[in-house]
Amino acid sequence: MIPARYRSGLTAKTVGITCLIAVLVIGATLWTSRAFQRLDALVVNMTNTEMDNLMTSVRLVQQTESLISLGLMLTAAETQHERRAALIDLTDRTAWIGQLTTEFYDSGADTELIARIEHTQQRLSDNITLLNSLVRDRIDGQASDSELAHIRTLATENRELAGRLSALMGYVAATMRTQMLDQSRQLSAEIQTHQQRLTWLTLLLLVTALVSGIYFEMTVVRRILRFQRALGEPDVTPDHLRVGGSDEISQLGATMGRYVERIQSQEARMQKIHTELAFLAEHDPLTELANRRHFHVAARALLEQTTQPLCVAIGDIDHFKQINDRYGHAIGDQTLVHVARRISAGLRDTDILARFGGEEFAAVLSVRSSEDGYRIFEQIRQDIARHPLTLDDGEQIGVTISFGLTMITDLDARSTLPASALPALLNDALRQADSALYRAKRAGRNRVDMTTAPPSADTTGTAPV
Amino acid sequence: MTTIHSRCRLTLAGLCLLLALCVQSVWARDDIRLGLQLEPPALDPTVTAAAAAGEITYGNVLEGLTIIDGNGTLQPRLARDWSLSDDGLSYQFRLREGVHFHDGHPFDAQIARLSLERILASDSLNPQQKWFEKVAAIRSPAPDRLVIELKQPDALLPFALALPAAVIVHPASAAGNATHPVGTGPFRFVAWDKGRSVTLARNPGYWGTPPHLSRATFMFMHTSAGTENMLAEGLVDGLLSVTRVSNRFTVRPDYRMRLRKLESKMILAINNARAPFDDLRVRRALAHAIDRDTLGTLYGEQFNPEPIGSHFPPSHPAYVDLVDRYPFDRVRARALLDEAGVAKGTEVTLTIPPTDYGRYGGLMIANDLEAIGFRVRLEQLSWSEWLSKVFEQKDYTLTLIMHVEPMDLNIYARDDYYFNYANDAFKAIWQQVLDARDEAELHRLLGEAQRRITEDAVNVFLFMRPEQNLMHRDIAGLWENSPIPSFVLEDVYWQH
Repeated sequence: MIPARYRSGLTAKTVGITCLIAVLVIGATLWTSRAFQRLDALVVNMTNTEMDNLMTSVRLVQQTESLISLGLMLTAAETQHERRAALIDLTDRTAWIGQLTTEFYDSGADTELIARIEHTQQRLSDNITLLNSLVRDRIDGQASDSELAHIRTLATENRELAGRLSALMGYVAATMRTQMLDQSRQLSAEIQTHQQRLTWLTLLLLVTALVSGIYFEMTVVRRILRFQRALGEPDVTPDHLRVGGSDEISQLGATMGRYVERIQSQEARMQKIHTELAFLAEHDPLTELANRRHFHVAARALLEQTTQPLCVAIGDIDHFKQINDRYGHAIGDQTLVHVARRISAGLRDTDILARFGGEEFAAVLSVRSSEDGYRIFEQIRQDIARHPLTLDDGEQIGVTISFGLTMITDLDARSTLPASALPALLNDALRQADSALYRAKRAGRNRVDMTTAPPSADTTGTAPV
Repeated sequence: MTTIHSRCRLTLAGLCLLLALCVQSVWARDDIRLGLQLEPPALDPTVTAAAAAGEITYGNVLEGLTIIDGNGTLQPRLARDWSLSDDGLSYQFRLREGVHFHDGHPFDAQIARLSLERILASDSLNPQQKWFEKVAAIRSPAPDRLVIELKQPDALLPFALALPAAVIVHPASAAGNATHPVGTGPFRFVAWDKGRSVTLARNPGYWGTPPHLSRATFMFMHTSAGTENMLAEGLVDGLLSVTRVSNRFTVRPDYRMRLRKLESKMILAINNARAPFDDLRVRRALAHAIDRDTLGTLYGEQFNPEPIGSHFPPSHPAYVDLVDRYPFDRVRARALLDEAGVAKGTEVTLTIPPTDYGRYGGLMIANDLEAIGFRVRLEQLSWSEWLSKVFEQKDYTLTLIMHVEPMDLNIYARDDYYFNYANDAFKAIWQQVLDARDEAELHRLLGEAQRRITEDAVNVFLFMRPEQNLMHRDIAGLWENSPIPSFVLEDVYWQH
């Protein structure tokens, strides 16, 4: 069973392209090798057969030409020694010519030419034999006049036959030369053809390599770069990691997308936990109002930012201990939540409200004037007094609250204060508000009291509670 | 850095090696083309007297139990060694194992026995059968043991076994060896292009050290003109015997003359049975008539062939100088002819083989014969015609010929030899030679044998051929000191 990646996908493509290039390279090598073999065969044929044939034909021309002079020497011999010497040379030369012509026949000369050469050779040989015999008699002084005349005729004929043989051999040499030239031209043409084919083959290889390169650039490199870009963005979107196709890269993209999704979901969960933990650190878990620490931070920020007068209030549920004692802590807690909601309802979202501890609440809010501030808390006080806490069994518990207020109005002076002096200013304001609350409690509770003296930043001290 | 440098060096060394191999493959030749004047009628030296058969096949295609190596020393070949019994009547040869003929047949003692028995057979055509006359029996007691029993002691038997005529052939291929020799040698027969050449190729399964050459071609140079042509065009790498044209080519930078240690004796062989040469006076007249000094210039002025007065080489310790027994004297020659009743103008046919010395030596001999009153007819034969007509049928009067076999004085004791010299006195001497008890006696008897044939003027003994080969300068390793007429190629290589 072949694994899927070898049947399709990037591996299959890589294997396919590698095989294609390998086949092309092997094919080109084999083809070139065969071309060289053929050229080699042509060159070997030229140097061995054709060259041999040419040399043979040239030798034949030379040797046959020498037959004329040797024939003359035989005819002119005056002693038996001269005659024999000429005969020996003639016989030797004609034997050699005979051997050379046989080689020439073997190389495939046309039969008519062969027949003509053989016929001439035979006549020449017969002529030499007869001439030798007549010359021998002539030297011995036994030749008749007719024989002497015959010698002359034979000598002329001998010259003519040798000349004719030489001419035939000249033709053979010319034929050989032409054959060799043809071979040379054929070789040259073959080399040219092979050169052209080799050029085309090289181009084909180059194009294949180029196309393969582009294909890999498009299908591999670019997609990988897309991943890189998508992963480099501050907000990674899993969808950007999903690329088309069904190869290893798209599988990698899908895997990476799932991985990013998993990371992002984990991150969201962590963020939520973080938000919850941060809320818990800054708020009272029962009433969900800000706690004292957060109150101070928020109040200081408000002090720094606002240009309006600020009303600082501290409220305390009247007789809360009695409620706790009578109804238990659970109802006590319900009372705290109830009061917290009513106070929140009486304030704006931008106002700062916190559970300061026990049944005590603190608020800081910007107001137009002290009257305005008084009115707001008076309304809250009345609202709480009007709306008792309704328990699950329908019983109603009347709840009242007392507020002590103070105003931070000296805005110019406040703006010149250094940031480090703001906590002292706030603390003083809270202390004054607390004093006012004390007065409100003493005055019978369920009322709002306001100090008249403005708080001072010079005052040092701790929180009023 | 070191790694890179060593890698570079390694690559460079590799390239150099590759280049060297390429250069070597381009330039180092492993073939050779050798020219021979005579084409043998058969390529089996066990059936033909033509030395050319052995010149091509001896030590190359066919091997004997022993061999005369390149230094002229007798060495074991297909035998590993041998020993002689105390009574001198039994040779025991230990043979090589794992030797195969070119056709795959294995060699063993039985094959060696059959091959040697073939020499002894009554219908044997072996030209050297005489050397084995003392053999009584041959036994092959084990595949690697061969025993040769003798009728009489024969110290020369190991030498006789090294002759080309004693090479070992296989019964399965023996019949075809004449045209397609099959042996155990380092080269195997490839082709015989009749009239032109014999080609041998390296035997890949050779039992001994493989030869350097992969191919060897022996080309037959039938004509002087052809020889000159081929040499001029560098179509042969060596000419295996001196010729008239050889010296001319030594001026070329690619050829040089190389000395050999052969014992080729040139003689004017006489048909002792044909008139008027059946008359001793006529034969002696011929001996006086030949001008050896002029004949000595046959190969060119620079060669001074050593004259001989008998069928024996001057280099042999038993040599007797008989050169002046028949001094060049035409008057005396003519007088002898007159005495024998040979009229002036008597026609005589001088048969010459198709060799350089035959053609041009023949001319000189013809002049000398003519000078004492003979009318000479030159008969030029092809080598096979010569072997058939002269050597076998003895249908000739006079012939100029070269005897190349070493120690071949025994041919004068043969009844059917082509000289037609059936002389009982010589046979008696030769029998004594064969029975000689020691070296001194042997030498004395050999001297007597020399004198006998000279006195009988069996042939006109002319001279020792100047033993020089014309070879390409770059050829090395030819066995030049072997007295066997052969061209053993196993050590031959191209120097450049």
